[in-house]
Amino acid sequence: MGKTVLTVDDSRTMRDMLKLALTDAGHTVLQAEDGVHGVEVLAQAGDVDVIITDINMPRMDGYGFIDHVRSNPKTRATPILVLTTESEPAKKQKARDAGATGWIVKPFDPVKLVAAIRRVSP
Amino acid sequence: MSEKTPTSPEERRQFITFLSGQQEFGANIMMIREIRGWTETTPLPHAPDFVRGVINLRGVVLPVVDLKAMLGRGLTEANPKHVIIVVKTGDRTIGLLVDAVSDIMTVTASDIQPTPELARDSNGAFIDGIAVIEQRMVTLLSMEKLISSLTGEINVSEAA
Amino acid sequence: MDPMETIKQGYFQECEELLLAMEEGLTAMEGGDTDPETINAVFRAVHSIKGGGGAFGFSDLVQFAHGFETVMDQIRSGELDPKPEVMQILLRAGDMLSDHVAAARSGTKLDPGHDEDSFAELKALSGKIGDLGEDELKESFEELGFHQVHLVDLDDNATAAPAATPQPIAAAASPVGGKGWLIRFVPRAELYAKANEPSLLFRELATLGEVDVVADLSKLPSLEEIDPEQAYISWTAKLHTDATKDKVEEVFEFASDDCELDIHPLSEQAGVQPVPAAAVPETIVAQTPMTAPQPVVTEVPTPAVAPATPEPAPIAKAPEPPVSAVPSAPLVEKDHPSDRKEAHVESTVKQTIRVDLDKIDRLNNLAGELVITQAMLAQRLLEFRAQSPLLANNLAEFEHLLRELQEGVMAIRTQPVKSVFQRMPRLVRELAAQTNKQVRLVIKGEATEVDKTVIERLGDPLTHMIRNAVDHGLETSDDRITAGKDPEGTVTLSAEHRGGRIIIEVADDGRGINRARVREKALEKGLIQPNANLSDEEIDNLIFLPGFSTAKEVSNISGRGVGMDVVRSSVSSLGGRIIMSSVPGSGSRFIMTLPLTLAVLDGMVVAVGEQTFVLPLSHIIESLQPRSEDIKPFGLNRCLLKVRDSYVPLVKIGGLLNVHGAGTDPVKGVVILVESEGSGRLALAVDQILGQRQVVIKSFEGNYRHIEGIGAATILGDGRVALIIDVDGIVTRCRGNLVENGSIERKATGTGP
Repeated sequence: MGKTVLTVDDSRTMRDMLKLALTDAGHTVLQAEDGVHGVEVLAQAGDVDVIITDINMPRMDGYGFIDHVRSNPKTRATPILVLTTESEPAKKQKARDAGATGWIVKPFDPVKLVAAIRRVSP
Repeated sequence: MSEKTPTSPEERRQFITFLSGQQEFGANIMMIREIRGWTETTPLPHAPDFVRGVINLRGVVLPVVDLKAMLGRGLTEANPKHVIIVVKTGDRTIGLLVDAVSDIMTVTASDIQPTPELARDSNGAFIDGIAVIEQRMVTLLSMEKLISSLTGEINVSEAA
Repeated sequence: MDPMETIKQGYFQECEELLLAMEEGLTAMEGGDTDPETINAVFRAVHSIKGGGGAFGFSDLVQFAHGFETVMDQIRSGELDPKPEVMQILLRAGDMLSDHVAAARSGTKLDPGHDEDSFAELKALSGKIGDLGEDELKESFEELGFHQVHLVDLDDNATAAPAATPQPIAAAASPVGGKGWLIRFVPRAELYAKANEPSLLFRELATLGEVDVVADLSKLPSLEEIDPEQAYISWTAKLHTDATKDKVEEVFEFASDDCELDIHPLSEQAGVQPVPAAAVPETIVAQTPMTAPQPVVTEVPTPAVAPATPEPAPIAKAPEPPVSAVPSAPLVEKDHPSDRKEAHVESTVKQTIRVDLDKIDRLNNLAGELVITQAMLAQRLLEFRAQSPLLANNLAEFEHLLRELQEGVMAIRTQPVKSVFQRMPRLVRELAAQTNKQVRLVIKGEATEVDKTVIERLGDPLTHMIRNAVDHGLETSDDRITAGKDPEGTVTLSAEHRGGRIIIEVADDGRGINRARVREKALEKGLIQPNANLSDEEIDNLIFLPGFSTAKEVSNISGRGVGMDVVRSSVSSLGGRIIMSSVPGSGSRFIMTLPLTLAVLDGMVVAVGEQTFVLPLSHIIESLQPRSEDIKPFGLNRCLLKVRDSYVPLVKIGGLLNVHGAGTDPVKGVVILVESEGSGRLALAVDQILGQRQVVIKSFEGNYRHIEGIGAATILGDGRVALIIDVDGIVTRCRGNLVENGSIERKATGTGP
């Protein structure tokens, strides 16, 4: 029941950690370094099951990226989890307003991460 | 990996023994990388006479030291029958010019006698002790001390 | 290696880059850059450092970064003005943050008070940062009614995250008598718009215990009235479990804002009756005895209820039943291929990979060995060249390709000097504070690229030169005002490529060198003779002599017995040179010239006696055939060579380096005129020039020791070792001897060098 997960984060550490946790859980991981890159990867990959995205990124931030995903009929219903830190409630709200499905609080626990994916993706 | 001579009686170490100017020496086998024949060296300016120069050892510039000369017994008249023992301690590698390699021997702590007081001249700094096995007397050299003296980092108090 | 350890190492590497980006951004902001992207970049850097730091449990770092980030966020939103005082606070905070990273990296802890002042400044500035505790984090979080995901509550899987483990919000009410929970769940349309999916929530619920789900379809309008984007169905679930209410709420965490959710202990269910099933004929009850995370609702006998299909594509899944019921109605929008094109945005990000330096070094060495082998091969094939012109062509092409290969490999190792330059602003700030001087640092040419090994070894000499410039070069503000100068002193650090080398300059607009004092000092230390006739430049460069220190007292900044001679020797060990020039009252300039790489050099191969030497081409001005009438004896067994209208000291390499069988008469050999930046010219007599070639530099100092007059070694085409002559060293030494006897060149030429 491995899924294809796209992670979008400009921090290499975060990308590495996401990849490790997701790969360990049997998921296939695609990675992008910012929103623009994420859009490209999505276009190339066709479908992904879940998207995990950071908010603060160069070029296109998480809000812009979520907007993009939600406005594309193909990815409209793709679950999106936002990476937030607990200190950013306003950002979380903004991400939700932009159409995020759920969120993962950084630093994340791999078990929670995998559970969050299970809660949003069949 | 330390080349310390054996301390506990059961502890056994292997030494390569070699001849230089009629005398037999031993060096911890763990320090020896390879043994090759003598080749002409490129002399180094301002070097003491026992530093015979450098050779190309597969891309590494290797200083070659004449053991006999280093111990104050005159230069070895090197010919292709002489051998260079390639010694490595830490990240330093040098070649040691000797007459011939003779043997590999196993030494335990009880075989080793301290360096006689008389031999404790400046050269004694590289000598770790004397092993007497089957009537043979082999002078055990400390390759670490020898190499660090070459690179100008010897700590003589440590050698005493 | 443990994968987490690998990631941790990666984190610290990333931190280095982020700290640089931060420093760069802050410096730009300090210089008046108000571009939102600049501010954003600083914010992101701090944010990412914090984010990764949290993952590894660096709680002190996270706390500090959080305060810093908060202030950056306020600046970003325009709430705070990045005026100069604010920038000073931010710069100091940047320094603290790098200290935090360094401490985390070395596994140590900063002194408890180390970041106190800086944190207090941030706090005062922001007004939004709490004490070094977590309360405010949690509170602001709760305001929104979110349920905190507990980070360390999950048995053995929890990663260390001590900084962020607030207590559970709601008192965890245990289900009465272990019966479980009655959950009423009424999604709103927004829930589906955000791609949440009730069936998945029930499936998740089933991991907690046995679930009975009852769907209420009473709100479902008639078919023609259905809006596929709306939510019509609600559910009631009985969960038989021992799990706490928190656990249940956690399942609905993502949905909680977009639904009505009531969770009551099963024992209270009288109060919250499930939907009267009898009244709603369409109601379907799903029995879900399983606990495995398998879709609950797929057990539903007909597809009439909510999403039974696992495919993720369709929108608004819940209102789907009618769609399934009337398959002909294409309510689900199909994908348009054209959208893909729209989605494709041209990428400008340079793709990079991180490679272990060892691998590059190995490649580099290999390329070097290839060059040597090629040279050997070419030499062996020399005699056949005449017979086969094609062979010569092939060889030339081979050589050309090899050179390209080697250059390519070496280019991998080059990096902008920025990484080392960017460490200097902090140094200057600290020095300014310590010396109570006002200092502005101007950095130029930081994009100049040079071999990584050069960069790595540039830090120490640069640090020392900057310290020297601020400590000794610049005056105090009062002195500057008295001298009619700007009270703020300027130190300029610049880099540029010139003639295959990199030139790095540290200039200050301070008082310049006190030549009388330098001379006095040099005499005192016995470095020069009392009658020495020295040019200004020669006096200035005396400060590089070992044992020279101009400071009257050893200051705790530049001092500690480390003088400019150390800078010179570290520059010279890099194959570089350093000189300084000074104008009294208006400042000093230190100029370093360094090779771009430490791996190869273009050299002239010369024969001296039985030996072969290599002279770096970069130092050679010309080679000439001396005539005996141009050679003048000077002093005790010294010679001068007349080169056009000036006299240059003539030195026989053979004599200098004790080469066996070297020619004694320069007239029978060749003279090579070399120049050392700063130390002047020298004529070197050799027996013969053998050719020019690029040689791979092999250091032997690791295996031996430094030899005066010799820079390094190389391996020639015949496999033998040749020594590379250290022209700077020789020129400095030979001319230094001449200085002792009084400077001769100017006497002969009548002009200064």
